[in-house]
Amino acid sequence: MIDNISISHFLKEMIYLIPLLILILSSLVILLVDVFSESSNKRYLAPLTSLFLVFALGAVSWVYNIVPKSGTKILYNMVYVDQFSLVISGMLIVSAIITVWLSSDYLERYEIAIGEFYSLLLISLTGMILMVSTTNFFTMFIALELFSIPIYVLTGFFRVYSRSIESSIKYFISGSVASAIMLYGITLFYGIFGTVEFTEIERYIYNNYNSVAHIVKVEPLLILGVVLVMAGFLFKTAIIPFHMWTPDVYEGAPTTVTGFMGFAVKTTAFAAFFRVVVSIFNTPSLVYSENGTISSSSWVNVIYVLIIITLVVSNLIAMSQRNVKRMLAYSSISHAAYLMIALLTFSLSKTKDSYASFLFYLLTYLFASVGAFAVLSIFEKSGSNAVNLEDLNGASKKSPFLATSMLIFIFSMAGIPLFGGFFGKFYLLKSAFVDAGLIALVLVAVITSVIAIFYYLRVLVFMFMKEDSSNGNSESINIPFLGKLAIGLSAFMVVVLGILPDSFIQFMGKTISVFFLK
Amino acid sequence: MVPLSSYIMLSTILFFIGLTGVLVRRNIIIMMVSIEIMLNASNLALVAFNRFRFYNSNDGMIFSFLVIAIAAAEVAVGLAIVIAIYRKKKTVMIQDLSVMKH
Repeated sequence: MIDNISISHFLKEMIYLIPLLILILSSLVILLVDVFSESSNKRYLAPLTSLFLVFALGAVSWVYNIVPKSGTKILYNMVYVDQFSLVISGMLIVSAIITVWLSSDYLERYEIAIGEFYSLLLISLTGMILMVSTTNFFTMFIALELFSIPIYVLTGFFRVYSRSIESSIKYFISGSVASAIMLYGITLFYGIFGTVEFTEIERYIYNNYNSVAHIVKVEPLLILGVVLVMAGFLFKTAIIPFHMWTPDVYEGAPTTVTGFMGFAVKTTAFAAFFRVVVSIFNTPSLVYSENGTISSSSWVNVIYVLIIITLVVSNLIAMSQRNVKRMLAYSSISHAAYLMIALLTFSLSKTKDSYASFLFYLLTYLFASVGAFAVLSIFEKSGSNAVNLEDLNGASKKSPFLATSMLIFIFSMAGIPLFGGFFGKFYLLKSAFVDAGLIALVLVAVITSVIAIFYYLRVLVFMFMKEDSSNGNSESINIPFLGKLAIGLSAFMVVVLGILPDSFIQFMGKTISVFFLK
Repeated sequence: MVPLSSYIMLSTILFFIGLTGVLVRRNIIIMMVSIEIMLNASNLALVAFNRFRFYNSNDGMIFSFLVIAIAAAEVAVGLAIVIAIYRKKKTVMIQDLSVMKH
């Protein structure tokens, strides 16, 4: 017997899930519309999908206003919605909207304009939003697979091109191994604690162990569990040495998918890792030794070393790349290292500034990265699915709009002052320096970002200073309306983030919930 | 009765057999089988932990069903990708997939 009270309680909980429900239903609607539409012309699917996505974005902002400041646990503690998860969801949806606008024309050029693309994108987005709004390892694992599996398919979407299917199988194999490793870590957590709720695990660790050495002696499986879960997350966030899949997958995937993946997968993994770090890994007995200093075998030191390796290696390898997509893949690895610095800063200092700098960096990275891949998707010559530096020759003559937008995105990613990316890096490193005292890390980050300027500016050299020698006649490039809108919006936002960083930082700082502060 | 430690040892051995299989073998189908072994190692451990230590609830067993379902979905997608590769290249060996240089 279900009584009235539980039904009304259920409906009250469902309010917080409206964005998810909109996304999952619209993915089904898109599939049905695609199947039952008579005409072979599928042009209306992209506007329809973006309409659904705008509804979902509206629902997110509505839920943002009614959600309690401390967050709310729903569906028997399986889902946890707070302002942090809603801000991340909003960013993910925006990146999906931009991707959909670009994809319509892009897919048509490759003659693979079918509705499954949009449906898979929406399913993947659902999984991502579920993953950032949970504090339960079981739900988190299911969400991880829910967003990964459609991404494997999207990567191999151009199944007639070798690059696309190769990158798909490489992503599939390595991604599945990473989730299997993470699942084993989750299993060990379950075996030790009998629960997979982050806060309960934290309480148990807090009450029963007093230092890393103590845990190694009493419950070595817990250390193994921490290592395995961390390895899974480092893989998804593409921190060196878990980055092997990134260049190949970024290069081979359809360019609009690369743009979506480069931002959304990374953001989702970081947001979920943030929650795990703040609640479980950050328990004093997992970080400190008995005399109160950071233990030498603590995960903090591992992350610290990996960040330095990632910053140095990714920027050095990026310099030798001729393929722009591959170069941006290595640059995305270095951006992941910056985000990891913010995460480490927050876990060591627990300041609002470092939390806000993490979210602000994600926001600047969203528009710069998705925008840069958007420009490349228009430059790409049909059939090659690869953009070399030489393909950008004389771009400023062919299309001043695209070249100027690319300049804005590249300057932002390189951290040139007065663009969004500069303030992202600035706030992040300032917080790491002032709040957590990670001086060596900040020094390495600054030096490597100077190195990075070299390979970022090389793209602009090819676009603005070289003539197109291949065919002589530099005909202008035809940009579709939705593509123009997407690139224009991204460039506009990067500039706005550079002009008004303070108001965004303040907004981000306000979204911190009890979950992070306890 | 078989003790919990035996189950966990078997599960650990299975996990590392799977991991070694993925790293060493070059046939994509075998690699997918190895991934399945890794997932099933987790399933075994989940059920054993549930049965021996936390028998008041069924969380571990229920989750192992979900993992089985996820593994099935993963294999369905994986085999579809393998078929696409075989059609294009007439091979399922991972070393033959090297269009993208390093």
